[in-house]
Amino acid sequence: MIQKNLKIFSGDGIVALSTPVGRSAIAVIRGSGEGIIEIFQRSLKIRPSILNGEANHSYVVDFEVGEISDRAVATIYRAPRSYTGEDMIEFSVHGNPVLAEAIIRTLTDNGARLAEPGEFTMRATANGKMNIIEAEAVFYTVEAQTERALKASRRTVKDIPEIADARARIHDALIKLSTILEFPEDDIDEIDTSSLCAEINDSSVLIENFIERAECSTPLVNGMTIAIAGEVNAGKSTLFNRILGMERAIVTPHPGTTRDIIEATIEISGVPVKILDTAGIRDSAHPVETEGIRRAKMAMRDADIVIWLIDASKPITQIPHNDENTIIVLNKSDIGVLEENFKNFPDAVIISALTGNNFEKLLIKLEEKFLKIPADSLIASERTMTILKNTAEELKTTIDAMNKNFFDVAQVSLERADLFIGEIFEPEIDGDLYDEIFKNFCIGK
Amino acid sequence: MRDFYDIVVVGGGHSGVEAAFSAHKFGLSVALVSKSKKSLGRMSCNPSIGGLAKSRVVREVDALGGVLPRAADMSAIQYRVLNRRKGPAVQSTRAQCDRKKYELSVQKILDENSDVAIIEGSASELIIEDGKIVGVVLSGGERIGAEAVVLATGTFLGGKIFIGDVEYPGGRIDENAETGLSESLKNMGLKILRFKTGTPPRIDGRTINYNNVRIQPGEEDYVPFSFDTMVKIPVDEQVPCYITYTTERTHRIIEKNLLKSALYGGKIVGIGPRYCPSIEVKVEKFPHHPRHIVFLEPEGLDTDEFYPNGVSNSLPEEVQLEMLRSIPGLEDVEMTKPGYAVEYDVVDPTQVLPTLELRDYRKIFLAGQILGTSGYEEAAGLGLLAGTNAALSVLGKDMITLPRYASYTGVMVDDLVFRGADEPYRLLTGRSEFRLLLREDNAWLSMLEVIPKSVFYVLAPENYERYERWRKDIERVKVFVGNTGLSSKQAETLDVPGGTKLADYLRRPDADWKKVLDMFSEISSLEEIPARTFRIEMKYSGYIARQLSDARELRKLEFLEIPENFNFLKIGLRSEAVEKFFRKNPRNIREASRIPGITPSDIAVLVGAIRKMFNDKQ
Repeated sequence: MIQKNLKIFSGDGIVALSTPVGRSAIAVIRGSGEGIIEIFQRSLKIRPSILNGEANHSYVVDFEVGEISDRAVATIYRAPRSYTGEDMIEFSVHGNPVLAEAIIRTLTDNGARLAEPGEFTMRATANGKMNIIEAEAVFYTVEAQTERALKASRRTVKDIPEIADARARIHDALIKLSTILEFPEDDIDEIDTSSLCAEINDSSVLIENFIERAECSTPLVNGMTIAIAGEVNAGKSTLFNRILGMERAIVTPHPGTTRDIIEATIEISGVPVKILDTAGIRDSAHPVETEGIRRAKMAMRDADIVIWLIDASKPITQIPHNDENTIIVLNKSDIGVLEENFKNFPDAVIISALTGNNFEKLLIKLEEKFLKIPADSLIASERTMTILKNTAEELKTTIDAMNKNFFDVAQVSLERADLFIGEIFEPEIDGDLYDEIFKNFCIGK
Repeated sequence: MRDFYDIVVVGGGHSGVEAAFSAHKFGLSVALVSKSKKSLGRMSCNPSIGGLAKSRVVREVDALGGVLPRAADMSAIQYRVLNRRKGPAVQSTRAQCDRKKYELSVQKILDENSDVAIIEGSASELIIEDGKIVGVVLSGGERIGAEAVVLATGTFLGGKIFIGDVEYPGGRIDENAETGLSESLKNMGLKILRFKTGTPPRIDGRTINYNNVRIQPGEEDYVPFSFDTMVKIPVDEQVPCYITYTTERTHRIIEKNLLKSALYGGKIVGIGPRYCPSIEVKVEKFPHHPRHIVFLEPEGLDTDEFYPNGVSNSLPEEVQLEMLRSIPGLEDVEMTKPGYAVEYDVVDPTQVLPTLELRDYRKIFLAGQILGTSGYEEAAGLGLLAGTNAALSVLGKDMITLPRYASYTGVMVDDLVFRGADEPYRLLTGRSEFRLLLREDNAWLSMLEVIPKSVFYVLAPENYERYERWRKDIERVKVFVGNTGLSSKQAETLDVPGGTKLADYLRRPDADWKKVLDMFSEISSLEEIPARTFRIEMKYSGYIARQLSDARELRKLEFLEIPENFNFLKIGLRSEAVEKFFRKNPRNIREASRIPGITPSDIAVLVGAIRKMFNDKQ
């Protein structure tokens, strides 16, 4: 959303490493602001000169930093046609952290400043290159861990029509209500308050649906944690390795092999899932094992989902952990399932982690029960959700007040709803707004 | 006439009168310069007082012992309560007044209660020596020394009247304008704006055909504007208004003669009020409206003149008559005075402090239309504030300001001095974010809470005593209902479970107050005015509590100081915002957020940068 005729503000020159710190094929150093291209040119002695380089073009150049000479690719952007709206440069060098650090130090010694977290995006927002929602989407795009989350993150930008619709209705209702109240004697075509109520109600439904949908999608961003727990020697590590598809955890026939928590992250149905393999629960005198059991219990408490694994071939010795976030799994079906276990756990999934028998069923159950995310999933930031919840709350007060004939209260609440939802489009006065948003950004997106 | 007064007030309209009247109470010598003693307190436009938001200001003025509310009650011939059933925050009293009797009442109040010296004449120049005000020069050349001056010039400052292609200098019809003073203000380096307003023709009531109009009677259930007014007018003694509508023919007449109107003929450069459009503008902007409403308001008891509210215009006289006669009920009407437009000079109100003192000149205060407002009520509120502060400044005491959350006068001042005016400013309830706190019933209580006792006691000592008593009565009853549970018998009568707290019952929208008053003498012993406030505050308690806490939150953010020599350049602001902040040099977030063209996101960036700076220091 580039605003027309907007004056571009150019800040001082800032630089940052925009690829991860560490050894990689290439490292990209990004600069933005007044005179940034000259600073690069001058301090890195770039040949041939890029000062008159064409916008949106890349140049293979030689440069010097300290004793080192090397080659790089310099891409030049000119205001206002750049990410930040300012003059910008992207300088791709060999991915050596020492080299990248030396370049940045040289640049900052020569008039550039190290960018604050999120400063590039903040400038882009200040220059009207993107609105706040788009800025947030940039954040989620960068943070997205799975393809599905990536898709959903792009949808936050595009999928605003219903919110825009709700906003338009709220605004329209506010104008009508204010007109009735402020100009009681003017000859206004009778505005019927029940149709106003209906309009406010419609917008409230739109917003509540949106909130519900966005809430379903939170696992896409935050991911989920599954703790595999159970008695000793129930086959937890075998199941862990089975889910991972590799021999990650040590498996032995000896009870109590796993002591510390082992974790790994995989993707299930597009949701990033952290799997924890935990120590088996039993009464143990061994101090290391006791500590492992304590950690296992903590992991069970903190996890979103607990898989409680039972060795189906033996009678149970521990009371199974069981709540709405737990799946009971009877393991070792290859050995056999005791009649009593079969009877006591009718809803349990029966598998063999060792042979993989029925393993698919467990995955399907996990997806159905916990990872069901609507196809049109979208991601809303906490800020957006807070705004929408506040808006919905005000609309509730509005409708309630209208029903009591407290039209003055209704007008005030509706006005607040209008202000709240307006923040999604243009941030309202709030000291911590930009602070909160931009501190979530890594440097140089 | 002496050659020196502590305070000289220039202009004897609604603003000037309040300024002089409140200033004199501080024991200072006060002179009021007006064209004529007889025109003091004149209503230039509609013969009515009150309306949405305005009626609250009237009651704020009454709480502080002002003139307008009493004069309105003394001359009222009809009362109505607007939005009676839509909620107390948007409910408002409005009175039709006898125009002649109103100004006589103002003059009587001034005469009997003050020793303000009335100087007939007009001021043509302010005398400034070494950047300090020392007096004014009258148009005859006489000089009057003054320690402080209040300018309340209304439409007279550089005023020019337009009727069709006729134009002449003037402030009201048949009254001369003041031209010299504008020059004097410009020479002082003040930025001057040009506004426009207008008024409809007046008609002879004996020539109205009453069979073709609808009657609009007065109402009985109202609270007079001044708590000092003891007698209400029975409805059958009130004088009715009448309602009629323009017709397609009216609109054709206007369209045909549009270019002959001063407004559309290109003569008028001043900016007119959007909320009070002339009939030419209404017809031009809403060509599809088949009719526009016209209220026929009586000008008084001893006159046959009527004020046709809704047809203000600047058309030539003969077209005005033709247009009027196309309206049902006015087929044979005779016009007694033509309508006209008036253009006048306004001092850009952003050059004034919230005390109404000029930023760059100590002890010069502005009030009323010279600050870009319109309306008698607005003028009175500003006049009272300007006069009070002029007196306080002469006495070397702290001046007062009115906060947004306690007063519509405060809302108006805040809007004007921080945002400026791009059209004549009228108060509307929507201008206040805390309007549930700014109700007609509690103006007395708000004033009691925000005006320092030392000032309140000078302006209205009796009110102060009375309001303190009422406030304590309400507090006591609030404690009583909070501590009282309903007995099973009482609960049965009220149809609620036994043991219900009385306070909880009273917060219900369907509470039966009549039964409660019969049951508890502790509540029914409240006097009428505090009783009403108590009742509304119970019914709205949740909503009111929330607005109070919002008001506190806002104050916290607003008074975040911007450090001196703060560098706006390096914090990621838009260049337009950087430029504006450097130019206006706001001292705190409140001032910064009120600079025109500054967006909420600019403020967010600024607040973020200031907080970061403080955090970095720690």
